Amino acid sequence: MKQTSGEGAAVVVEATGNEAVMEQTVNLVAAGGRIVIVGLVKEGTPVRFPGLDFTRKEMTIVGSRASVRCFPESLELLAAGVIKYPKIATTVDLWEGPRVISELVDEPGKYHKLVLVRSEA
Amino acid sequence: MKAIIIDEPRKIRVGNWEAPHIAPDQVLVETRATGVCAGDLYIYQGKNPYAAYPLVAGHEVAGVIVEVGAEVKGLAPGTPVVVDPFIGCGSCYPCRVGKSNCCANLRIIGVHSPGGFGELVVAPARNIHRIPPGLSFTEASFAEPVAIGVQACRRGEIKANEYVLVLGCGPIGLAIIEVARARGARVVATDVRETRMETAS
Repeated sequence: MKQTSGEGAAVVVEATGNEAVMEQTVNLVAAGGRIVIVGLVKEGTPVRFPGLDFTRKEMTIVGSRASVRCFPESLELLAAGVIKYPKIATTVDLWEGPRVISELVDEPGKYHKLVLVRSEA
Repeated sequence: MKAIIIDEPRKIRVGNWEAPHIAPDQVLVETRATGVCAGDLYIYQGKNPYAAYPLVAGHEVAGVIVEVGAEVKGLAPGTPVVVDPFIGCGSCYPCRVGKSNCCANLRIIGVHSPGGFGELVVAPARNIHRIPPGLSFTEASFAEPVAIGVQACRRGEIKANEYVLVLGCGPIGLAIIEVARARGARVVATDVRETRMETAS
């Protein structure tokens, strides 16, 4: 809020899937801004927004599900080297998958991002 | 083919799965690198209501084409590719308006058909994208999660110099942050876990 002189963000992207966080988006977005909901709440979970803000702020609220026709741009960004995300990958042989997948479930922070690779191929 | 098989929630093993065959409009891909997504972990834990066991998961697939169907043009064996795992029916309302990601009869490779946790993956030719030169299979396997970031930035019409607040720095949050930065946005991100914040910065 400080960085925007109290205006709020032009765009707020919700990527936690936590309903309390989702409810905060309407307070964090600037009037006239956009809210993008990417996180998934559990089936049937209500998310409450103060109704007056719909008109007072006239923000746009959109959902974003997986992707459609985004692979070409995604591959371009990766090839251009502007996406550093793959650098945090831990690679493990595919056939070690059962072990590392059960480890990751029991200890969620163990790997930032796991990629299973065919070392023999 | 050899595959990681999830027989039922919390039961996972390496075993043999029926070798797949392709239809005339499909492509057979030999997997090289497959990312593990929270969705795969949900399937393993029994938290995905659409999962019918036993199954072969994995929808962030990079590999090499080994066979193309008779009607497929412009793709040949030996080509390094990634697989877009979402297959729309093409006839429902969302498919007709270009939102096949919201298809009423959506089928996902790695949920409804065998995914990249096995040796071979079948996909419609239109779901196949060539890996640009210089990218490794591991890097290319990020095409799917990064595409989710692209979709979120398109949906939010994120532009250069705009203040963008991303709530959550999990794997998808990170992808969104990076795509938004690539668009020149001023990104601020939050998460309750400090290790995730360090990764994001």
